Amino acid sequence: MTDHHARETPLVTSAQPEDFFQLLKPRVMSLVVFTAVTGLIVAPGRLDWINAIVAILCIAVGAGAAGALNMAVEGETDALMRRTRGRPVAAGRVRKNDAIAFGMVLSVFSVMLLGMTTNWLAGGLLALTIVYYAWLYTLVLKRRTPQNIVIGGAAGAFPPVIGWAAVTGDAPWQAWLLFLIIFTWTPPHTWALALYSAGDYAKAGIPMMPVARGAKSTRLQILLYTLVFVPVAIAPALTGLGGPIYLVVSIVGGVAFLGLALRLYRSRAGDQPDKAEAVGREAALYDVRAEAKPARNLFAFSILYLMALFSALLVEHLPGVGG
Amino acid sequence: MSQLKYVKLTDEQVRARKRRNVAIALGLLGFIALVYLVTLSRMSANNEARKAAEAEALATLERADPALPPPVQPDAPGATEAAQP
Repeated sequence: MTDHHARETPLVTSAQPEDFFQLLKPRVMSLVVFTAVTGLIVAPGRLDWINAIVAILCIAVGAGAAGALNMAVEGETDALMRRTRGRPVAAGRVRKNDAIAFGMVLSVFSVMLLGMTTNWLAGGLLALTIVYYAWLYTLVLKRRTPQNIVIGGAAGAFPPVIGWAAVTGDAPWQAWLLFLIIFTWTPPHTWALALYSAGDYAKAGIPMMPVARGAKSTRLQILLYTLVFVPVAIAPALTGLGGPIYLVVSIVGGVAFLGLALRLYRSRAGDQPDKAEAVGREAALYDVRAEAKPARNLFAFSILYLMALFSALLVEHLPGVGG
Repeated sequence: MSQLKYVKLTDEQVRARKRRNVAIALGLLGFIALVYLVTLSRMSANNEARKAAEAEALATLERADPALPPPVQPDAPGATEAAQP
């Protein structure tokens, strides 16, 4: 074997435990935990506190395992993108095969333990989530269609349904309403980010919407998806799942979201290259050119809005508060 | 006969391997502890469910025929004599 091959695949790894933890995508895991806890608390019925904690842990680890498998497969692509070149596999700190093994072991353990702790519907849904993200989104959709995150975004929407199923053993339409909120939120959220990091995706050959269809089309699609998302976000208040706090938060936040999407549509965000490319230096996630600020603002607000919606549901369903 | 080639680990690689091994050990211990706790929790819940079901069955029997003598508890005094033909 040549020295070049030996450099790419070292015989011995120097990976630290922290590098393996980074494979789990901790920031994504925190959102998964939060939405899963919401589903668990909002569901009618009660889970013993030990089983509840273990269930949430299993969901978090399962989601992390999907992230590890994603990073393992996407190592070479991640190395090409400014936003992801620091990831453990992309940076060469963890070997691809080690990341795959890590992800597979965690997947099996988390699904098995969740099934044993609660029920096999919850375990099955967690298994489906992992397969959906690691295979359908990462290997099938991501490089084939600009609608990749529309379909693949469902993986991030499963956790509240899993939390609900862990308590009740079934997944009624109310649980799938929570799924729908995250599902319809994902396109405007992701495309707003993609608008000011399109150069990265183009370099990596990923057909994200701004790369495949252009910035103007992306801005229009963000607006259209927002028009679908906002009513869906308000729906729980009309179905009894959410109460008065949720109604206020969803309407006020929804109007603000719509306003930001409209402002983005009228802007020229994404028409110019990324700031990092223009000035030739590293740019932080929120450090963008002036004309890209509407995209950055929508991206930042989308996170805040989703957190506020699920927080409102949590507050209203906590024992002794709402019911 | 081909000579075996051995990889000589650097100090950094040895330290990293030790840290990984400790992390794996802690992870396995944590997993064992979780399975133990969940088992205790489910056994306790099953026990309570079984007692509730037995109490319900007894109450149903008494409602059906109040004249029936109360069933003999296995550990009640005289249960052995009562069980003999």
